Amino acid sequence: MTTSVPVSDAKRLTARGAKTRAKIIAVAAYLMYVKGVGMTTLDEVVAASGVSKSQLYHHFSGKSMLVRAVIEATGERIMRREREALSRVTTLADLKRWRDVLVQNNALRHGAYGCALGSLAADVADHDDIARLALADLFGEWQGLLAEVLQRFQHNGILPDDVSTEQLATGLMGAVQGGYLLAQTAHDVAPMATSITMALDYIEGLSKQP
Amino acid sequence: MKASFEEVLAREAAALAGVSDAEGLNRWRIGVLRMVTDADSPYARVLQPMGDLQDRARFVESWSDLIAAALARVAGGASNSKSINVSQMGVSVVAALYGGAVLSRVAREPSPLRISVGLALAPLLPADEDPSRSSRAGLSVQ
Repeated sequence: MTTSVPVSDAKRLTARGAKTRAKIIAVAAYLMYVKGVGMTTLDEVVAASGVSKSQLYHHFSGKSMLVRAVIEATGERIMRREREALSRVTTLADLKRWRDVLVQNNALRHGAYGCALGSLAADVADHDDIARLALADLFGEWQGLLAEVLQRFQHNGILPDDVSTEQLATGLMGAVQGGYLLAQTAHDVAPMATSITMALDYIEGLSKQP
Repeated sequence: MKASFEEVLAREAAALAGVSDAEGLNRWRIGVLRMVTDADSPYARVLQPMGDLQDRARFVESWSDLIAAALARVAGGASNSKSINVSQMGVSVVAALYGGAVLSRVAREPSPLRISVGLALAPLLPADEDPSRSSRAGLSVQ
């Protein structure tokens, strides 16, 4: 069995080895999400995952490689969720429901930990160029999904043709990421809801213009 | 970090006090974007999710309030602005600064930050107020 690991240590793994590797990544992803990348040590990952240090080093040559694997796994999870959610959005009401789901999911922990991708970006963007490029691809894909929604709006006559859907998608992604960060700071999702709602209100206003 | 929060708030109090119309708001927008994209500026530091959480929460709230007060003055002199909630818009502008800064750091280029802030300010700073804006989306691409 071979795993697809473009930004981290790629090795041929047995089923058992793949399971161990996945467990290490899942535990590391959780710790890095809750504590931040900088505050998470490999010793903590070893202790929390129940694997030995030699097992961890068999799969990851160091912390950077583990962080890259966490980015890849987190990105796959979020993109799968967003592809599924945004592919169904064809009206402004659908887009507001997408916002509600994002905000409500973040409310489960009072917004304390922010966006899993955004948190990783804040921690590694200045330190690891390979990780930064992987994050840039993931944010690009997410923005692309938003742009496709806005292009469907144009096709269906909801948005005028002369609106730049690429720029609107970028601005909406900025509102989402900034909303997550303000929610994390306030331990309250209200500013996140406000940030995304203001962006959607602007998009709705464009739809009403002649 | 606390010193950076205080320095940015002092600078912003002075800069935003002079904003009373769309032209002034646009000048503030250009100035704040210049500061945020300067890696050595305290603005770049405060837009990273670092420092004491309570200090950061107070900073975000104070900056949002300063921006909202300026937006209220701009909205007071603008037509078609009665429906704008300047308090919420102040929050969305600060969110755009934070979110846009993350996207720009990852992409290593300033346009996501400029576009995010442009979208947040668009209700009071439409595209036709700024010749650098290229689209009806009201988003700066300068």
